[in-house]
Amino acid sequence: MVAEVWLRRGVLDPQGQAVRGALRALGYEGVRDVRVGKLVELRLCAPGRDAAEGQVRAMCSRLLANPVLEDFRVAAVEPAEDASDAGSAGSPAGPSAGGEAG
Amino acid sequence: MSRAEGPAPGREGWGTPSAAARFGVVVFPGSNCDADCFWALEHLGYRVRYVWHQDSDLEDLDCVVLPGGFAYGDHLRAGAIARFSPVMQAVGRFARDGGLVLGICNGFQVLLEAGLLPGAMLANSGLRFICRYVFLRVENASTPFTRLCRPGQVLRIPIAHYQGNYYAGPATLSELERRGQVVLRYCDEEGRVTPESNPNGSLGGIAAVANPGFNVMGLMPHPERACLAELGSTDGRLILMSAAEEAVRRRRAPQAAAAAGPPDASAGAGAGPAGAAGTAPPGAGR
Repeated sequence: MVAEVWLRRGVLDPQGQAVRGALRALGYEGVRDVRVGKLVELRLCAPGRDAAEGQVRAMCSRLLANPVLEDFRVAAVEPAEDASDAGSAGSPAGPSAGGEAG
Repeated sequence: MSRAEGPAPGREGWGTPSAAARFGVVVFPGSNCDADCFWALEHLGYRVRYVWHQDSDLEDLDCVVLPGGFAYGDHLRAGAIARFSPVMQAVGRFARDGGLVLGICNGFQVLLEAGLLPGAMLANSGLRFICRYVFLRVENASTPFTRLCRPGQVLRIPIAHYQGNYYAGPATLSELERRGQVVLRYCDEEGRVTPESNPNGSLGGIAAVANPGFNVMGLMPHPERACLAELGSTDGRLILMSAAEEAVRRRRAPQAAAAAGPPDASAGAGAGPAGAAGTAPPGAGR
């Protein structure tokens, strides 16, 4: 699962402003606005994709995002091929019970 | 843990001896201003002990101090992880029961993340770590942490932070202003709140806020670094001593303090919960 955490629209993003300034100084004068967010990638075991997504949304509400300042999006992604995955049973993605949701 | 028996020699005129006030300075992994807080409180003649982040016994304390630093490395967001430590569960209960809680810098950030104070912190608008003296105007001199100050008094206290840019949504902000929960604002030497005197872009130049009950306050400046004349300012003493006096008053008359409710800015200098209940606060002088 991947959680994207963004500052809410209307909250000043000094980091984004700084990056915008730097890009324009590099010659990319067409850059209008830049916002810098955070990506949190989680590998977790859950009884299916919906359950995994629900858990990650709760994690965002409780810890990963600060609701005063930030919004978040959660998405399931295919886990990268990994030698250490050799032992996991079932398909890596999809709502199969007991499977690992990436 | 040393126990001070009153102000040390040479401290005449500092106000009421509140040696009985008992402070706990929380230590998170990454806190680095805990020793300064401990030293300042002990230097002022109060009883102090450290509270390890995994401890949850605050029974013997009048006031809990969350010091500055980088608790849990400021990972994810400053204070985001610290808020879930065992001690913070206890601090939540302590605050709900009316105990005094003072969050300094990182401590303020922890209180915001824990929801014990409203709002949140962003990176300084200039994206620089700022370490220098600032002037602060006392907006509400009726809180437990500013009782020894005059309304509008200008304090000179240092800041040292990268994420001190206070933010709250419009509805929250107007509520804070209305209720007098904005305790300190950045200002110039004359006490004027101007954009130039705002070091970090905080909304409304806000440097310190209190909760609706006024028993919890967070401030970005470091009062513990302004307690010794040799170091440049002693204005920080006013905040620590105010808390100590209030702590002792609350211990002596808990019903009075609870019944009179929270103080607000419109009550004026000197007015506070004890006044309403008919018990006089210890003469402190202003």
